[in-house]
Amino acid sequence: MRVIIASTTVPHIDGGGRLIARWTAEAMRAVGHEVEEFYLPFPTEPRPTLAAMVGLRATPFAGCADRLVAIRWPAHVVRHENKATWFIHHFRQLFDLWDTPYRGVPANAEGVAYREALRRIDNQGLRESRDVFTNSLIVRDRVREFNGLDPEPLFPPIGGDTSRFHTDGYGDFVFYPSRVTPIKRQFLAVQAMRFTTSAVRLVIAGKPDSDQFGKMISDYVHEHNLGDRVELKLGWLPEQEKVDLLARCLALAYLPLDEDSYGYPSLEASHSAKAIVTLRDSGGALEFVRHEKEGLIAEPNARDLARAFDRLYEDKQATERMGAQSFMRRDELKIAWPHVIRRLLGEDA
Amino acid sequence: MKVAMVTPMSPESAIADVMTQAIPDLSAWWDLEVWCPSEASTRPCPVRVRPYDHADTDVLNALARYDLAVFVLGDSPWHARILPLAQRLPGLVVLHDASLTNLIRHAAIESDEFELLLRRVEAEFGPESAQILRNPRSLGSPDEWLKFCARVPLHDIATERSLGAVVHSEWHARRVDGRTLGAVTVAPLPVPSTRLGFDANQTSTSSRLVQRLPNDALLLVTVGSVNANRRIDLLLQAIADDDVLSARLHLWCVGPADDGARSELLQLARTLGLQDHFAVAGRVTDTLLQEILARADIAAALRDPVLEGQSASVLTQLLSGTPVVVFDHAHYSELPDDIALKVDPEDAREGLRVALRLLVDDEGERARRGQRARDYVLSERTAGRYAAALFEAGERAMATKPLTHLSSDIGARLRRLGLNREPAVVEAVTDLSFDLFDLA
Repeated sequence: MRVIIASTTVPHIDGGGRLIARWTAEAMRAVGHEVEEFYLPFPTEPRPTLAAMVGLRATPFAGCADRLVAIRWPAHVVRHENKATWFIHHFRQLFDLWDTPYRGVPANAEGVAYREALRRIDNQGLRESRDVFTNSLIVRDRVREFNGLDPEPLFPPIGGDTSRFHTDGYGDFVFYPSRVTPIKRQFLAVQAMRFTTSAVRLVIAGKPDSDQFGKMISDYVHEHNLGDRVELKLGWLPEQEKVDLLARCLALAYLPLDEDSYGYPSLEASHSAKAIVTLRDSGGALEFVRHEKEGLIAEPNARDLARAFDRLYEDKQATERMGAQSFMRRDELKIAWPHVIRRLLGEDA
Repeated sequence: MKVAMVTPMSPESAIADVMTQAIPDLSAWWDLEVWCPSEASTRPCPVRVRPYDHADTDVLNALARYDLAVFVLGDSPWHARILPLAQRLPGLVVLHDASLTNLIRHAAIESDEFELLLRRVEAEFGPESAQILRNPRSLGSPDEWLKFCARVPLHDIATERSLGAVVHSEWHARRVDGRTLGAVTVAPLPVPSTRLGFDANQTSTSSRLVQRLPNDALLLVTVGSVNANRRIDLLLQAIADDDVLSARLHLWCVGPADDGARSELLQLARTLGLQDHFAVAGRVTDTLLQEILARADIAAALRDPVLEGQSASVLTQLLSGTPVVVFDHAHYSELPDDIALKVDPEDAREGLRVALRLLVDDEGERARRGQRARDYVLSERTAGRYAAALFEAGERAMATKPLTHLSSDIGARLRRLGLNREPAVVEAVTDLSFDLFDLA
């Protein structure tokens, strides 16, 4: 089948939104489909979004290829006669983050108007799609709430050759690999290390969205003399080094606020047979992690998170057992490319 | 929300009066400041008043720092230093007049953009209209100029970049609809406060004019400038057509009158044999106006053409408990039927005669309509209701901001690409915008 993958990017910002499109294209090609990828740069602030939406809608995909798969918001506004949308998040500041400090507009009539304009456009783009999928239950629930539709959850696997992931014991450190940004709450993980009582260590790796946030974390480690127990790898982490850290770590931390999905770090931990510690308000991560099965779910405060870190360290037998369960969890949730591709291309599951 | 209301604040401005009435309630909802063209004196105001001398960039930049600017416009020189700001900074425009022809013309001449305005009028209304706008005296009579103003209102020049408009009648709303990116809100104009205080039991010092009126005379009044579109000539003719009206009804015109209009009307009254039943009272004090209206039995408001968005003088008459005769057109048609007697302007003379006879013959009908008129004004035309409508319009204007950003951003992008003069491109972009943002 000739397939177009249409997605959006923010130049120089890498992350799950870019990977899901690339890996989907690769997985489709691997089974013989003819795939072209289009990554359309798109602004992140509300105001330029409106004019950019007109440009996106004008892209001439109609009539090209047998199927168009729209992925990152708002790729679903592009027009195609056989469009499937894999909806991975809304314009979050205006919807699920509206009542949080991350809301990007004032909470007045102007802000509401932005929200309603985008809600209408989302509705239009989703309703004209032949099939609508979400990458998690939480995004499905948001689509139900904000758009009145009932999409099918379709959990994204990791791409490429996953055999690179392996287990090399259970060391003394909790590993948190992710884009370093306030909403991922690396700062909370560092704060928790002030309250741990065991010899557990923390390794944070990832590229900071802003120098300011990276410096804030570094300064905190320095000010509280945590340097011997917290290791910061602030920058792009080479894939091999990440795989190695995953293989050797005690467990993985994944602490986003109300995340859209379980996140690729969770899957990487699963492939490495590692337990996952997450937070009660981490959203989609809780779809993968069940408390004391695939890992631990802590309250979103430093002291409770510290207790979880200590527990992973002090009861390694249980930690290993949760790691094994984490490995099997992907099968339970049908997180596998053959299933995903069939559904995206409109074939029966 | 920080809001700047840009309005005249002169004590003589009737528009300043009604806007000031809304300020106490609005300041409870908004962090409100008033900006006004500087004058020798300004009205007292419960919020900070910031006078300015010129509508320059400094003022514009200061206004841009508010969440919302509200520009109050009427067709008079009071607004000449407000209009340029409204044209440059998208805000909420409050339109008190249905025609802004005089204001727009004046402002264009002041800013050396008159030729530009003439070209625009020529393109929209034709070369003859542009010629009239260039030289209004070519029309020969004030009456013809008023008709021209009704036909070429030029209000879109004030509203085309606005976030929305406030008008004071459904009729005016229909005329403005589609000429702003935002919504058009109809707000119930309150009664001018300088003329409040009518009371059925009021007993004040009678004026000489009022004293001379026979006790059994029925008094018909008009209130407002005695100019060509007041149609006092028709009232005189209708009275003259009917023996009962001629015998019992006295007609007074209250309001400023130039010598020409006064002498023309007095001459007509003499010709019709009504000279003893007709007076042009001229400009009167508020106290005397109250006395006259307290004595009046019937009021008439026969604007044709209609140039204002609502009639403050009719509201004043209604508040006095006086039944009103109006033409059944424009915003006058919206007055409740059990208050106003509406006359078809196509059959004005006979219609007026019949309406006046109905009221002259039936004292009970006059009393009922007068009471309902007063009740209506006291319940519907309050400062609180006006403020609430302005607040709602402000909310709607804020909700329009994303669309003005969209329009501005797309326009800038097309200009940068040199595509703003390519009809096919503009049409394609416009179609997409209409589709995505439900602008149809």
